[in-house]
Amino acid sequence: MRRVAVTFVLVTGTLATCGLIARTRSVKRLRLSADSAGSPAGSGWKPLPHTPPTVRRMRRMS
Amino acid sequence: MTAVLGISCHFHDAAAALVVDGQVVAAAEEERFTRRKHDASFPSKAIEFCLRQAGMKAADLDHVAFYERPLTKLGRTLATAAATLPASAATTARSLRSWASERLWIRSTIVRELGVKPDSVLFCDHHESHAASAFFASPFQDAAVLTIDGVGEWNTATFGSARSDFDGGRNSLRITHGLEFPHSLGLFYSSMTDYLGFEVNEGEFKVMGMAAYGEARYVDELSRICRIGDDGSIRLDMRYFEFHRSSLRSFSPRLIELLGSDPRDPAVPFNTAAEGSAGRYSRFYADVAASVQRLCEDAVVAMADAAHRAHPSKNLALAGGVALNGLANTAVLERTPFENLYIPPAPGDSGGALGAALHVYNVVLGGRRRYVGRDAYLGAEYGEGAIAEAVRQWGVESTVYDDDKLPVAVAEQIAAGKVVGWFQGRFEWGPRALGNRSILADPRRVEMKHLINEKVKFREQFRPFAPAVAERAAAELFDGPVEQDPARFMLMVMPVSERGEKVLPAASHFGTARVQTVHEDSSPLLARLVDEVGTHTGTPVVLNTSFNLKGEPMVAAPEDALSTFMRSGLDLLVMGNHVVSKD
Repeated sequence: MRRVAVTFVLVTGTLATCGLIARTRSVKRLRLSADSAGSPAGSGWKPLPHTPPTVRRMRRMS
Repeated sequence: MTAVLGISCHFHDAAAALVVDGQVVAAAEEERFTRRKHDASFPSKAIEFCLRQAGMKAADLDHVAFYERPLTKLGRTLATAAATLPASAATTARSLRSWASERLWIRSTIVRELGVKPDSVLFCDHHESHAASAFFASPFQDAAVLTIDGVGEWNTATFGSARSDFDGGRNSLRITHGLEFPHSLGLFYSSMTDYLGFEVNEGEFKVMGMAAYGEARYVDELSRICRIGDDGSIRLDMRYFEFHRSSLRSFSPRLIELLGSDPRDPAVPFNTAAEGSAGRYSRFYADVAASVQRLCEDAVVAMADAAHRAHPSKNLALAGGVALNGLANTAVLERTPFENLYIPPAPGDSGGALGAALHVYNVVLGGRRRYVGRDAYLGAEYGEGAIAEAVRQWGVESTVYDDDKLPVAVAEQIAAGKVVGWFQGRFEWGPRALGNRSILADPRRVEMKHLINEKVKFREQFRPFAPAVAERAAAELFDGPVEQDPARFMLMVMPVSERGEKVLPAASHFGTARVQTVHEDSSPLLARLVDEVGTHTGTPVVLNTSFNLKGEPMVAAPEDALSTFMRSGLDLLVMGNHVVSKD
């Protein structure tokens, strides 16, 4: 039952969610279309922050 | 006692691995048990095997480590959908169904299936799992780490450094830089695999085999759509790709326009030697494959250089699906400052299960490091009783040899031109058959390549075979870094020496070979067999290919081996000390 409800929410909410996400930084991260054409290569490496991996932090799914 | 179970699943090649007090007790892909190639479902059978192998129950586990962070990955999936809808509607709907039905519930699935506490389930970053699978199985105390694959959560490649000793000191693994989706070397290679008429996540190594038949004439064109920067990062021109919005096709019509030809039709046989248009057709795709391969090697070398600039070290620990590309791996040693290379036998996503467990044990829990992965025999073993029972149930006759006589008798048959199914000990971890579930033959006979491809494995004629060579003879037969650990796992392609070309024609693929060095310490029985073959042929080498038929996983149990034996053109099946012949 729980899964059916979640499926419903996920599917019906996807378009609305995606509309919101489209205006957030996440989509900018994608650089999917025109801006990836013809722009110079290089500097694609992004420094990653280091967080000490504790058991508490690693319980998170995100 | 500290026990950590690692799990990877729900993408492709589900697997489980168990680390107890720093030692890897067991590791296996689910496909070996379910007999579904690349099975991605929750690896219940692989978990059951790992626990049985250790004599443990799930209640004895301290932690269960999952190889990636599902919610972060879902975020990327939704962001991709937002950027690509409505074109990606069908793919997004399919993906969301999968998220809703299983991927979001991985914690509760683990808790339900194993009966462990929710708090004991930990989640690693995808590329951290890859990096740990390489570094914490390597002999290195310090190394640069590099991971390259399709995509994890957001990253498609990362590098960093790791440090650890074997004396109980502090273990560290720090990923410092990442390249983000959609700019992915793995997805570029997979898209071109699709264009070349092979299945994505399955046919990539066929592209590598096909590349040898061509010349890299299309590097300029492909460099425009996959550009390698001076800093070793790559950038894809997404106008040429569709992998982000379609699960049906990875490349766009613009790629067809760029290369001037439709994608290869898999139904048309690949034969560059054919006359007329058939030959031209095959040669074009071989040239594209060669160009893709050249670009891939250049990109991997550029990434390794970037890792070295940031983390200077003599040692590199490399993992991710792209690390299965043996030509690129050899290029790293030849063209970068790294002197030593370690790649685990399962560098792809299945290996993430072991990496997650090693990461939790070594880094998160700060356990004492104890493991060096110098063999891949971490799967299930089937004893004399199980083999004898399978032989009886199949109603075949077997001759049982004692331990001393078995290699002598089998070597005689190989030298006489027989093709042998060789089933011994624990099956291999990772996609390569390394002499426990292998088909073996005489590499002196040039006709063996054709015979095994056509009559034994029923697969494409252009597919090459690897030589398994006694360690002491390797340097004489191959001009490459045969002393490096990845050569134990058949993960490096190197030139065949002049002498090698004369004595191993069936193992040479246009003057190169994907070598497996056979070591007495890790594979004593195979080492004896190879030596015995050498007494007949003058060269301690056997031709080695995986014990399976096209489209099937490698055999695991005696029943699988007998079934494959009966359906193929194998002459002889050797399981433990039992020898079954078709004569």
